[in-house]
Amino acid sequence: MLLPPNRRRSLYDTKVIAAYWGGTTTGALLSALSVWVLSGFTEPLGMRVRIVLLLTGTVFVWLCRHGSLVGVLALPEARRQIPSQVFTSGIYRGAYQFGFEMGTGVRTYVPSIAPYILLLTVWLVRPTLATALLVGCGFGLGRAIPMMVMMTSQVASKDSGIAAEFIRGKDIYATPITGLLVLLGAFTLVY
Amino acid sequence: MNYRTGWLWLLPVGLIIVGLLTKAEALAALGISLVAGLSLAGSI
Repeated sequence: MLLPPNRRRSLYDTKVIAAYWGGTTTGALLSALSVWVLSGFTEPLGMRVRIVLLLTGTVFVWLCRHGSLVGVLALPEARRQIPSQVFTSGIYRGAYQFGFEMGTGVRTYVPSIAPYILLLTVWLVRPTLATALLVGCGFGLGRAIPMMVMMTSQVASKDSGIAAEFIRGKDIYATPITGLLVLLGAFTLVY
Repeated sequence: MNYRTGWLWLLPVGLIIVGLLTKAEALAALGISLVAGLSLAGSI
């Protein structure tokens, strides 16, 4: 646990979160840049083909995660938690490395389909380099926000349950809604 | 997600909607990446 529960937050905690955020952003930038480079292979494809592939890919990801392909085909993810050994070299460096592994999106569990659709978007839409970097920064920030919420909400103990509920994210509608939102936004990049 | 922390989703969803309406690629890209990052909030 990056942040010990039930105590007043300090500058120390802020630095831990900053290191974690730096890690998530670095990891996400690495993934976004890698996929953007690979997107060069889609250069010869026309826009209609890209849109069809994006829609087909989204359906495929959905089937693999929630549909008839569950247990048949596995989406790329590391089915393990990030090992606690990352913290052996100090809390700040450990927070950074922990965040880095979370930010790459493939170094731990990925329970949502939204990150896969995001990668498909970068791969098939082939946005500008600046947009791809923005995608990396946004994903890194999105990955770090729950930890920031946890830090700020635990200043007042009565809010800790709310933050925990948000971070657990048990809403069954969350996965399809976020996936559709990413797909919806992807069409802005297409046109 | 719940009503007390649901406001966190307003920013990325707002960015996507504004990006769609104004065809601002950067806003939409930031919005969808934030949504994707937030969607993994349960896997800490």
